[in-house]
Amino acid sequence: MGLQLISDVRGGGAIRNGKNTRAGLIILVMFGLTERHFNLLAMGMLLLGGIWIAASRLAPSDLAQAQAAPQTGFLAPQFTLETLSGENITLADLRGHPILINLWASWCLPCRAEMPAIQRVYDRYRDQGFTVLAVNMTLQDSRKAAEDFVNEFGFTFPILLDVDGQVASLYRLRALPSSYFVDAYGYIQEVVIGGPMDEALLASRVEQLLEASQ
Amino acid sequence: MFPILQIGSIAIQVPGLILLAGLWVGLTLSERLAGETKRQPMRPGEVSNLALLILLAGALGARLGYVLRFPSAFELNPWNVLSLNPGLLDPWMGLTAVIVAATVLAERKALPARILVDIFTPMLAVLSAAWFLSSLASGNGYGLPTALPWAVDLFGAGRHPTQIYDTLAAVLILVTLWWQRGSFRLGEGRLFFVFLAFTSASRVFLEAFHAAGAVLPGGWRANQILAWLVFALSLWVLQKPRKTQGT
Repeated sequence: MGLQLISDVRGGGAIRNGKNTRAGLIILVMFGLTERHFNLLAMGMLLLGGIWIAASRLAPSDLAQAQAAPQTGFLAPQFTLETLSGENITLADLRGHPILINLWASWCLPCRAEMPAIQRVYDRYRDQGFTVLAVNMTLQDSRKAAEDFVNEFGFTFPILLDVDGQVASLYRLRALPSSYFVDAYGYIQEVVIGGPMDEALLASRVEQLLEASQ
Repeated sequence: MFPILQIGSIAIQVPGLILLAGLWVGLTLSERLAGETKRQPMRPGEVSNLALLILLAGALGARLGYVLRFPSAFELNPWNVLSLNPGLLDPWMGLTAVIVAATVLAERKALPARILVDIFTPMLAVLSAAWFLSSLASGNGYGLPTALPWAVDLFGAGRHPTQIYDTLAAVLILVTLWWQRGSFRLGEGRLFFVFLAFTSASRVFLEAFHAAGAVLPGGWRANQILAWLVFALSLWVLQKPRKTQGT
């Protein structure tokens, strides 16, 4: 029944007796080949493909991106910033811990919406070594506004102040919020631009980071 | 890289926008292809309905797969099961759900799977090009360092512009198949398998220039091996004798 319904597209270039009446493109040449020639060509292409795969294997030096860049697969760019409580935090000192770096501002509505979810996920996984660095874009915000927002919700993870735009520049900030999931070896495993992120998204990504860090 | 389009206070995810546009263009082409057949196994309007049902099933399957994979992640807020966030999808379960839904729907409409895959080939070809273009916007799928004159300066090194290679290859495949669609007998599944053969062959070749992607022990690239297997399967299907038509 189904085959009875089939008809040639536009009625042109009909294929008759296994031969195509058109010529030109590789596929049509392929269709015009005898079965034996097609098989030989197919075997040749598969063999070439196999050789190409073997030749293009990655060398160990290609596997790790030694340079830092705000992109999945690269080392997270290093920074040292002062927190709201006045201490200095250096990203490199946290090597060995899976980290969520979250760039935010108090006037950014999606940032405000996702912060409580980040706190709940932090509470749940911090005993396993997970930490959050919430970097306030103080250059585009104000310390007072950031402090009021943090106090209102009682966030307990470190709030860092990017007063001179150092982190915004290093991480090539395009939109707020921007989040970087960094594994225990310092490599960025995922970048999420925009928000708000759900608890489930945060929790599942943190679980993946913890798993990869073991 | 152009991941975000900022219009006033609204930040639009450009990769998502490109994929949506690709879906729309792809569906339009698939409907046109369905309308060009002499006797229409599917009316053009049916193509969109069917595609949306299959995509919906794929999204549900992908979400279910993600929940099953990370059940504890949903304990904090079970309502997140209904979240619109595309980051909470499992692609393999989504693909399985798409195949199951397409098979069930085709059976219910008494449509052979070969007709279905042929009609949706233009949509798949456009989505493939849109996917690589969205990678260009997001910065994913970047290339290995190179000193070639057309290298792009990205993440501190001159690199192969892999997203451009990928997009050009996908567009070339789309244009070739669309231009030559009259050469295929719609409903044999050959249009789909030629698309699959071309796409997998291009992946075998182009994945070699990618810096990212799953790597197996010994430096073997998982994507290349998978693409090679799909290429072999496509060639095996294409070499089978063509069924003669009685009409």
